[in-house]
Amino acid sequence: MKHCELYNKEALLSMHAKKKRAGIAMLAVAAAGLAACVVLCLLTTRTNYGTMLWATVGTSIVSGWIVIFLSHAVFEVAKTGERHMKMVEEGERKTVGGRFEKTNEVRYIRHGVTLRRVRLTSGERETMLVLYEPYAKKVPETFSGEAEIVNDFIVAYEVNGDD
Amino acid sequence: MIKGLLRNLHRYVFWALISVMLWAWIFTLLFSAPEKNKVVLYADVPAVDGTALSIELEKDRPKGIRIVDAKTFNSMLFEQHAVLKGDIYLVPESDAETYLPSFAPIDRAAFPGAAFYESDGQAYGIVICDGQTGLAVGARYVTYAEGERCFLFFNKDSKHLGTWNDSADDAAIVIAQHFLELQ
Repeated sequence: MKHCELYNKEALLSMHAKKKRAGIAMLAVAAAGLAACVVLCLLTTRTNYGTMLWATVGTSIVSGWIVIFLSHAVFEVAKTGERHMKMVEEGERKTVGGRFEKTNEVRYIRHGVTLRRVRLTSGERETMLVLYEPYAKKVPETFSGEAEIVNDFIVAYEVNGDD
Repeated sequence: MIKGLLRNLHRYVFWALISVMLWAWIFTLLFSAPEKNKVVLYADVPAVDGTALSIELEKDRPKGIRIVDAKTFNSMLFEQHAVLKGDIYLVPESDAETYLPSFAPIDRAAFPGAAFYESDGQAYGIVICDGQTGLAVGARYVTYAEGERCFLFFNKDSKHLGTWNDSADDAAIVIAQHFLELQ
């Protein structure tokens, strides 16, 4: 029997650090963009009014877009990932057994959190569980054995020796 | 990544719109002043280099005046109410009669040597362009209609006509005098 834990403390800490770094980067870009816009305003005269207005608008748009990108592509993903990991860490584990089969069904929940559905066949009974997609590669396509779950999320598994 | 961008497209579009509106408003504030600190010149002529003329007229602006704003009547497409708040108007002869009730009578002593647009013996406008005599005041900045006389008038409700209408200052008259000296 091979026991494999999918979640660990380091992953949670690294997710927290990633969220923090993204937050700092967003603040830095926003502050730099605002500072550049203020400087452009101060350099505006009647003769360069039109050019400076568009330069300021352009700077504002680009810096804002970078912040928005960091927000949805990094910050919110890390934030939701961290929340998910905390939920898993604090949740009550149950053990289920049978034949597990990863499906190709990947579901996007929100803020970049994707889940892969896993079919558990236990005798005549079929149940659907989920895997946090970033950890899907850690789990074999099919195996027989046991898995520990929290709120239907597979958090650890054990493959039978004969599989 | 593309999916993420598309899912958040509304945020990007919203931010672009907000940026345009916000900075346009801020820039308008930067170059605006209350009526008492601003003299506005509207020119009903084919073309006027508003920026250059404003800069030129601001060189000797009277105390208390922060901005001299020169623009064409076309601007009123965007600010119809504002055009009524101008102080100085450059108007061709063909339109002068129409707008006459809005103009202030002129004290001839303020403009010695000038030729005037008169109505009932009262001077209302100063000749600034005359195809026959070759006069074209400020031709570097203003393109006059060919073959038509053009006049400088004052809004009778201007807040810068001094004793003419009991205003606090006579900045519009001083700026008009400066304009009349332009080549």
